[in-house]
Amino acid sequence: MTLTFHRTVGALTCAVTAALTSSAFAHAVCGDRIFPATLAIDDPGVGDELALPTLTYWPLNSNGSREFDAEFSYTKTLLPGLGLSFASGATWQSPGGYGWEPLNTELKYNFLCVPQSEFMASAGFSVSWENTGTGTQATPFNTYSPVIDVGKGFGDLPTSWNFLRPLAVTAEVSAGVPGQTWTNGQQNATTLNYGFTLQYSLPYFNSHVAEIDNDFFRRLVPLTEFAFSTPIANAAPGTRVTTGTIQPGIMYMADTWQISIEALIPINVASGTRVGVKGELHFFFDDIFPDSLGKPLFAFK
Amino acid sequence: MTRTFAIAAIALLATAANAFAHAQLEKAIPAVGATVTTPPTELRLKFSEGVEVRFTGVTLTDAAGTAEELGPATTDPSDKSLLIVKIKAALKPGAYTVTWHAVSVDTHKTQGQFMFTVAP
Repeated sequence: MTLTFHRTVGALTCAVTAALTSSAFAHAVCGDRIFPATLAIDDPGVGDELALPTLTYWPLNSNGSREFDAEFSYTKTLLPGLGLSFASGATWQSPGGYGWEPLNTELKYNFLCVPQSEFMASAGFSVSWENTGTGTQATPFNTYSPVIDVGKGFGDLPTSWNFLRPLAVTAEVSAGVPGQTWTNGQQNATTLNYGFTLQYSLPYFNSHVAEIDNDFFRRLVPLTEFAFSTPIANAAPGTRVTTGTIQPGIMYMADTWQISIEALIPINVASGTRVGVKGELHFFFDDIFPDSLGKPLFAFK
Repeated sequence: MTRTFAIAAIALLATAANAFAHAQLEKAIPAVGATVTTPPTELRLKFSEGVEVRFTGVTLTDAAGTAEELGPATTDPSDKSLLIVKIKAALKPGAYTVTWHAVSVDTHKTQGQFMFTVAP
């Protein structure tokens, strides 16, 4: 753990140094592609943005409880391509009661954009902080998570494949490493979290393939997200089961904000037993407040 | 808590409605992917935001990749989001590619490409 932590700090120090001389990546734009903010899998860009609120309703969890979450996430760019995000929120469970989720912070660096290939990649390190949650969400230990996010748009396909060019794929891999292996006689498992999204951008279709003569439809992005989690170490007997959701949905992209709604379909009984729903309103501060909140705290030219 | 979230979200939506953003191509003449029977004498690109014409450019190439000669890019005097570029010579029948890059009035950069066809 100590060695891993030191390597991560070293990598992030290099990232900060590189950021001092890198060009700016505003929004999640790479070449012709704008990667929208998705609900389960983080997009590969770093920008000044606020997700408020993110609402999730699970009709029936695997333990038989119903759950409703109201969360937020705010990202502030420190340097061009380097951002620090803060996320938390409230959870109501029945039975179970109310709890405030632990504060989660993530330092994320957008280290690669290949415009011709519409390929973008970011690396981050997040911490879920101990004793910042309350009630049902109180957690007495930190959880550390190195994260990789990538995105690839298919605009570089030949024009004979024109109708596939609005497609994009994003993916994320992270590990959730608890800072404490046991708590109150229970094992805290290390998890591998991974998933991907398939997106078909009608804004991209409208501006690259064929004009859509409807202001509403040309701003839609139908998509499906696939999010999974597998315990890989220190799992209690019988709990080494992959859980996850398949999340078909739709997104409306306005110029400075977007709204999304997705169904949550559990992949197995351990993931839940009914279909839930998740929605989010998302604001892009680089567009709304370009001269204040929407630009990096430090920018070197 | 939910009420606080809702009030904050509505306040931000009201602010966002008056904000500028990345200039995305909304419409074009000739239209994206269109086949036209009359060769166009100019390109008209309508963006979602006003653009800075000094930092905005358009190229037009035929199917062989040869660039057509264009006049300087200008914006409509009454609409900074409408970019107009004159085509100097008459286009022959064939497929053409328009490649553009734009800087919106709040300095965000965007780019794109689309095709249209001049029918014989």
